[in-house]
Amino acid sequence: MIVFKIDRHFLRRVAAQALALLFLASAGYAGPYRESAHGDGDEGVHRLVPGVSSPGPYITGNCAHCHEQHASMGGQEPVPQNGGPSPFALFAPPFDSARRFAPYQMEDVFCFYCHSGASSLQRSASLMENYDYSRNFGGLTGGPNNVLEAFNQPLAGLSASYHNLYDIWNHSQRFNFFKSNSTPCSACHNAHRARQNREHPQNPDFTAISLPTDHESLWGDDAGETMAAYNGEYEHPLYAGPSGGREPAGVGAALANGSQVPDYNRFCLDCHAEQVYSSTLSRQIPRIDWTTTGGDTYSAGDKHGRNSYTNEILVQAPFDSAMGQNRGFVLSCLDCHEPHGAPNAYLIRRGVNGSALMGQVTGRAADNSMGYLCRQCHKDDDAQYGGAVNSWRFVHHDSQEAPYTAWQCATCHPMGGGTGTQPPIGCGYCHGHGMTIDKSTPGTLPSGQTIPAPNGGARKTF
Amino acid sequence: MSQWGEEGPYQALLTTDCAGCHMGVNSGGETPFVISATEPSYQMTGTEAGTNTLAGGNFFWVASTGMDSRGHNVEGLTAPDSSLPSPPGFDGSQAAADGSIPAGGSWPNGRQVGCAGTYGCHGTHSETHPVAAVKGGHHQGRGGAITSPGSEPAGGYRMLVGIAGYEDPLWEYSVDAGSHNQYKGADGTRDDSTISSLCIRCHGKFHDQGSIGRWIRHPVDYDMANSAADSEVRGYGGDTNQYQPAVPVASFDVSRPLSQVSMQGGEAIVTCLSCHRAHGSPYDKMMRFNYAGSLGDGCIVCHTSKD
Repeated sequence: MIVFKIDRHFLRRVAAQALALLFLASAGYAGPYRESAHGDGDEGVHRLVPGVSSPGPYITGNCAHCHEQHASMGGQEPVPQNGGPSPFALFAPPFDSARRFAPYQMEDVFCFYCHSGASSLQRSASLMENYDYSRNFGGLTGGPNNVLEAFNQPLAGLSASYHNLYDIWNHSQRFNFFKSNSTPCSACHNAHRARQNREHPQNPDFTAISLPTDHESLWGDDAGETMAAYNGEYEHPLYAGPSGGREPAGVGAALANGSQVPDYNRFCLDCHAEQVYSSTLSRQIPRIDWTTTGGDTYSAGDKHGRNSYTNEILVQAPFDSAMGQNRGFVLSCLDCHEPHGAPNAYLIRRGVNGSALMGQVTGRAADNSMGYLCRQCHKDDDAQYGGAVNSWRFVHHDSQEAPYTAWQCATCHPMGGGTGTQPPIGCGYCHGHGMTIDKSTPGTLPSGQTIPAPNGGARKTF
Repeated sequence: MSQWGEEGPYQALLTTDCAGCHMGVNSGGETPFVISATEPSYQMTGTEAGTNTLAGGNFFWVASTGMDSRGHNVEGLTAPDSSLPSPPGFDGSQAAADGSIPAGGSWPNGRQVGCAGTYGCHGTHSETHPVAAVKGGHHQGRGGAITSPGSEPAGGYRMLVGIAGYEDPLWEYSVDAGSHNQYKGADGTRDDSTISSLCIRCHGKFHDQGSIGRWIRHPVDYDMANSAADSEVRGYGGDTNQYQPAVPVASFDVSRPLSQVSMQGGEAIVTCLSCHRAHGSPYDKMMRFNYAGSLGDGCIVCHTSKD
């Protein structure tokens, strides 16, 4: 596939050069920029300058809406915005690397000058509202209306999470295309190529993302770049919109074959295949292995990836109906995570697999709030036999593949006693990307109790 | 004589002023016409077959009502600019090779630019009258490669004091990759013989960023050969880097026109004239191509990944 990408890239470059030579005759040709969301002649970039009644002669989509070749748009020559040169001739600085944490301001990131709701400089800002993944592709209502808002939700909430833009900017310095003056957004998006995916949520040809390692190409617009590349192992989650169906955007179950979804796994793993540091969490984020099989062996990857489940799995629709095929599933990162920001910890979506989470995922190790996410696809006691919501006794103690024998509550539960209401152990002690439990891990709980090895000796627990 | 102007007497026993000789319709003859009474043929970039404008473009458009931004508002040819009382970016510190500074360093509000002289581009800025400013230029017959322009008006490329360059014999009346002006450029260092340094005499604040190059936004006198090996700008002119008359680049060596430019250094230099026509064009900001009305036409000749 890599060879193919190089060839395609080469051909595109040759095509671009040929276009440049013949640009006079290019009016009928739609090059990558002309096909991009920013280069759209109707809904593309169109900056309105405060205090200037007309943006000048520049048509919608014109370079001048972002780049100022000499001075400021609107006749305020010759002093450029901010009194000095801005990298890439942008009308404002690309990124304020002194801003280490949210909440972000419009001035922190160049892209926010337009992707910011009511204060946007974009003409008809309502035309470019950017919802979160849960709404645009998952069918939920509400949520943030623009990208800046997505990063800042909720401003003071302990549970809110966001993709730290300083960390992205810092990490991306390793990519050849990325400059110290680049916006962090450009790590994932090529502003001159990103397309209007929100208008065509079931068609990855309109993808808005580019691999950091292949910035000059869109990602998801080739057949090998979609979830169809997992050879049927991807099961589209349920869609929460009124039309029903599956993600993205209510595609019919019969048609949902992975080709409607960019391969977000390969995309995210361009960075997350290695350990990366989070300033927000003040720790390393574990490397994610989404491809290695091997069951419950140490070297195996995550079971939510290509690795398979252990004999039995108790899951909700639509995954249960596919179980007869005796296969595991490969989830897409965006089945659970938002790319920009979320009201839950760990960028967990506010709605997954057809409905909103019933509780907030706090990210605190001591509670089991992560279960609100898990139960969207896995069967908790409520789904299994009408027990308590977000209670996991059955799957841990009573099911065929239960890892721990029941009625030994106090071995793990700090206040165990056979009442059936034992205080839960925080999900995160055992479950998370890359985790394994055996006799030595996860080790000791805050209560001083040691979680013993599971039945069978070891389990990959994600 | 029909050629006589109406406003005489004229200096140096001339029968008319600049426009008296340089107004007309180009047909490839010996006199370059820079302003036409009727709209010239420009097509898209002024470089296509059948066009009849020259390298500097034409003042026709800026002389037309409501088209101030389509050229230099030259005294005697056009009305004063309705919004710009002085050259945008004028800082009064940029001297020509003979030490003369446009407007003596202080541009009077409302004063129009001229063809030559104190407020003009051609000749020395130390002479108020355009004719005196270009004294000797029409008679000394210099042409072709101007590699040592000196400090006399007659020695400079197109009678631009101190400016080097290769003069196309037909002022690019017909132009192709092998037949064109060759503009002088530099690479990040101050060189008062480059074509862009001429522009900077009046528009210095556009590009003066202290001692390191003269640009504050889009670079000029910048060699694209300095770019990274995988940079899009190395695609200028395609795989063979053919010279693009519609978006010309300058070079260190101006002894001959280049039909191909090298990305090894000194031949792919961005200049003001890469994007602008010196006299005027049908487009806003006297652009060579329809920048404002397009999605980057012209820009993509260098910015090849932005097509």
